[in-house]
Amino acid sequence: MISYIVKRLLSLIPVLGVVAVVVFALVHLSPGDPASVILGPDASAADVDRLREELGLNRPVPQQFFLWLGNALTGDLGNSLYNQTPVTEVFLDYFRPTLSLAIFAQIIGIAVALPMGVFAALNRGKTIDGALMSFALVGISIPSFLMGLLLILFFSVFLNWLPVAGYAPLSDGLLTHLEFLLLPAISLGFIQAALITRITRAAMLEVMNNAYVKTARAKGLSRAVIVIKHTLRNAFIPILEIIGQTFTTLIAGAVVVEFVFNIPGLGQLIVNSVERRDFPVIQGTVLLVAFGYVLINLFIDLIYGFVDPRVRLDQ
Amino acid sequence: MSASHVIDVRNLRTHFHTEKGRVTAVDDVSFHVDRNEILGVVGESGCGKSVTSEAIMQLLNPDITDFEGEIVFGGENLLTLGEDRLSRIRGKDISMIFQDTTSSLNPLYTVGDQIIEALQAHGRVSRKAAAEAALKVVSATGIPSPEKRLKEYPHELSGGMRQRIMIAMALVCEPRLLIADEPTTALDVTTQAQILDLIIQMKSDFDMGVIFITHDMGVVAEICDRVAVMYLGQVIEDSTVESLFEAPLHPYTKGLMQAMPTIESDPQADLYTIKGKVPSLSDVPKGCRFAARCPFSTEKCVAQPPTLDVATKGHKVRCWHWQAIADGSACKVNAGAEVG
Amino acid sequence: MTDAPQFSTDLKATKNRLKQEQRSLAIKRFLANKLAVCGLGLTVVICLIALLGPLISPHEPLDINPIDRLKPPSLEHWMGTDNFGRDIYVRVMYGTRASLLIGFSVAMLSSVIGVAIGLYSAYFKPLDHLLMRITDGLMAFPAILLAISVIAVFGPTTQNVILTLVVVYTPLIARVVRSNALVVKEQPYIEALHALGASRTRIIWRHIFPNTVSSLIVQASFVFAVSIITEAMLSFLGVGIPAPHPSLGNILYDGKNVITSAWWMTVFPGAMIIGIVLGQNILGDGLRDFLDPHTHKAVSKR
Repeated sequence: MISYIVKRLLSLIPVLGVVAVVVFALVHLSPGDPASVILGPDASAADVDRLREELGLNRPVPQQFFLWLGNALTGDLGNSLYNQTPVTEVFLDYFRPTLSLAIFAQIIGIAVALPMGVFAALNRGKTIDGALMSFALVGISIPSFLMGLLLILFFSVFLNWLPVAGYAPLSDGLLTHLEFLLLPAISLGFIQAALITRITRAAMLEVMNNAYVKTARAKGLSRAVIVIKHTLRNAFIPILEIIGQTFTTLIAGAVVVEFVFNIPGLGQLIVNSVERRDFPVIQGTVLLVAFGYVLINLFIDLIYGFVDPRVRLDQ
Repeated sequence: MSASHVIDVRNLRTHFHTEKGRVTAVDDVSFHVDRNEILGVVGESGCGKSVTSEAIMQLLNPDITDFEGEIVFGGENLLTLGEDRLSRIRGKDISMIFQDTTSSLNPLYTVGDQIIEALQAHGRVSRKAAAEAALKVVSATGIPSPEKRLKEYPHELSGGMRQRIMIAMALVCEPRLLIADEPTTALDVTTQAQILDLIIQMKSDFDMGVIFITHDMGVVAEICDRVAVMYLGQVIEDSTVESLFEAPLHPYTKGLMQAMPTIESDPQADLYTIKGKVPSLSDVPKGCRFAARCPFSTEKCVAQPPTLDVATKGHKVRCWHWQAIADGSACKVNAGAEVG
Repeated sequence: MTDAPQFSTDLKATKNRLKQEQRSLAIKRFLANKLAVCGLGLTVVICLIALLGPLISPHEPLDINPIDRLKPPSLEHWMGTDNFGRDIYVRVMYGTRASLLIGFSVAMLSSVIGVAIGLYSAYFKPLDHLLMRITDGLMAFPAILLAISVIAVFGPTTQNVILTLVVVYTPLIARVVRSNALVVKEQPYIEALHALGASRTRIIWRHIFPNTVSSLIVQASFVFAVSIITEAMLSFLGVGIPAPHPSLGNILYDGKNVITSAWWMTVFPGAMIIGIVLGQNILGDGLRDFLDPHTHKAVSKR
C-alpha cells in the first residue's frame, strides 16, 4: 500500500509542473503590458517603469517563472491588485462556500442516484427502468446553471417558497446555511444524480453477469445480501471512479451556479477578478484549484486502493 | 425405490424464450442419484448438461425460462418451490461448484470470509464458531497452511487451491447432494487428479450424492459410479460405469469413446472424429437426434424418435437398433454421414 | 499471361462490391438503432430550425426598440422581447446558429489535432511521455476556469472562445485515440506490416487510425455537446460571445436580472440548449450502442 501511495505522489510532480507553466504562461502571454494595464492609461512612463521593476517584469521570462514558482511553493502567491490582501487569504475566504456547495450537491447526487441506479438495474427491461433512464438522459442534458435559473423561476417566482439568492455562512447556523444552499445544490446535484444513476445501472448490470454472483446465489444467500455484498460492492469501483471525475466537473459547474445564486464563492471571485483584471488573483486561484483537482484525483485513487484488494496487494 | 434416492429428476424439460422463439434446451431428461454415489453427466458443449444442473438449483433467469416435469428432493418438487425455500436449500442441502474458479469467487473478500458467509447464511452461528468450522473443512481438503489461506484473497491463490476452497465452501453445511460442473476442466492434470481424489473422499466422508458434469470420458472412467450421456438435450444412454465402458451401446457413446486417444493409440493415425456437427437447438430433427451423423441410421431412425429403454441390467439406451449394433448385425449404411 | 490483368480487375471489383455491401449493412444497422436515429433526427431538426428560423420572422437580432421592451410572447414577438426591445425569437435562432457553429468547430478542430497527438504519442514512446504529461496537466484544470482565464487574457471574441475550447478539449480526444491506438499497435499484423517494410506514416494512418474511428466519433460528439454547454456558460458569465451578438448564453445573462418579470428570456433559450444537448446525448448513446453491440437481450415471456 505504501509503495502505491508513493508512486501516485511521484507521478503528480510532472503534472503540477505543467499546471504551473500553463498558469504562468497565461498571464505573461497577455497582450499589452501588465504594469500599464494596472496603472491605467493616465500613468506616466516613469511610474509604469517603476512598477515593472517592482513586479520584476524586466527580468528574463524563465527567471520570472522560477521566482514566481519559488514564491508559490512557499505559499506566497502575491497580493491582490484590488485590495492588497494576500492571494492565499482571498482564496481561502471565497473557497469555503464553494466547498460547502460542492459537498452538499455531491451528497444529494449520490443519495438520489445510487438507489435509483440499483433499482433500475434490478428491474432491467421493465417500464420503470426505461422511465428512470429517460429521466436520467434528460437530466444530463440540462446544464447546472440553466437548472439553477429554472429552479429560481419555478420556486421563487411561481411558488414564492425559498429565499431566492444569497448566502449564509456556517456561523449563522447549519440549517440557515443549508437553506440558502439548497436550490444551488439541487441545480448542481441534479446533473450529478443523472450521471451517477446511469453509471450505477451500467456497472450493476455488468457485475450481475459475473460468475461470483452465480456462486452467491448457489450458496443460498438472500437477495439483499447478494445485491449489496456481491453486486453493489463490486460495482462500486467503476462508480467511484465516475464520482471522482464528476466531482471535479461539479466544482467547475459551481463557478457558474454561484453566479446565478449570488453566492460569494470562488466563481464570483474569478468573475470579479476577470472584470477587475486582478491577475495575481486569477493566477493564484486557477493554480490552487488545479492543485486541488490533482489532490482530489489522488484521493480517489487512494480510496480505490483501499476498496479493491487487487490494486492494493500487487501492482 | 425413490425413497432412497437423494434426488430424482423425472421428465425434466427446460424451455428458454429467446429472440428466435421458444428453445427447449433440456427435453425429457430423467435420472436419479443415491447417497455415496457419483453420477457422471457427459456430453459435448451445448448438450444441456449445465442447464440441467442449473435447473436443479433453480439458478436460471425465471423471466425467460419455464419448466415441465419434476425434480424430487427430500420429498419436495424443487420446480414448485418459492424463492425463499429454495435459497434455504441452496448451499445447505444442495451445493454446487463451478469450472471457472478465477471468476467464481468474489475478488473483494477473503476466501475465509466467503466460506463463513456460506455458513452464516444457513443458521445462527457466531463468527468464531463459523471460522472454526471453515478452518476444519478447508483443512479437510488438504490445502497446505489452511489458517493462512483463509485470510487471503482469491487472486492470491492458485487454480487448484481455489477449487479446494470452492469445494470447502460447498461442503461446509454438509449437503446431501453436490453438483460439480466441470470442476477440473481448467486445471492441469496433476491438480486434476488431486481434486478428483478429494471429491471421491468427500463423497464417502459426507455420504453425499454427487452429480459430476464433464465432457471428458477419462474422468468419468476414473470417478463415476453411474453415467448419463447427453446429446442435444436428451439422455441417450444411462448405465453403470462398468457396463458403459465394457460395451457402450449408443453409436454416439461409441463415437465418444473412440475419439479418446489412449496410450495404445497409434501416434501416426489421425484422431477419430464423429462426422458432422450437432444440430442447432432451434432446429431439432424430428426423429432420432443423432440420425444424421449415425453410421447405422435407417428410415425409422429419421422418422421416429426412439425412447430410453432398458437394454441390459442397469443399462438404458435411446436407440432403435442398439441390439443389432451390439450383435454386429447392423450394417453401416451411412458411413461418413454428414450434416450439410 | 493474358490471365494476369483479368485476375487483378476481378479482385478490385470484388473488393469494391464487398465495401459497398459493408457500407449498406452498416447503414441498415444504424437505422435500426432507435436511439441513434432519434438523436440524429433531433440534432438535424435543430440545425434546420437554426438555419431557416430567422427567415420566417420579420425581425432582426440587433434591432433595438425601447418601446417594446420586456414584452411577453405575443403574435408580434413569438418569444417576447428583451430589455432592449429586441425580438427574442430571432435572437434565439441566431444564438443557436452561433452555438452550433462553435460546437461543430471545436469538435472538428480538437478531433484533428487530438487524433494527430493521440496517434503519434501511441507510436513514438519518447513523444508519448512528453505529450501525455502536457495533456495530463491540461486536464488538471477545470475547463471553465481555464477558459475564463484565457479569455480574460486575450479578450472575449468568438474566435478566442473556439480556440480556448479547442485547447481545453483536445486532450480528451487525444487520450481516447491514444488508448485505442496503443491496443491496435500491439496486434501482430502491425508487426507484420513493419517487417514488410511499410513506412511508419502509412502504418499509422492507413492501419492504426481506422481502428480508432469509432471511439473518436463517440468522443467527438461528446466534445460537441460539452463545448456548446461551456460556451453558453462563458457567455452567461459575460466572457463569451460579446454583446450585442446573440448567443444562447448571453440571452440568459440578459434574462437573469429580470428573471422575476420576464420568464421568456430564460425559458426559450434554455429549451434550445436542452434540445441541442439532449439530441447529442441520445445520438451519443445510440452511437455507442451501434459501434459496440452488447449481447442480445432475451425476450421476456410476459
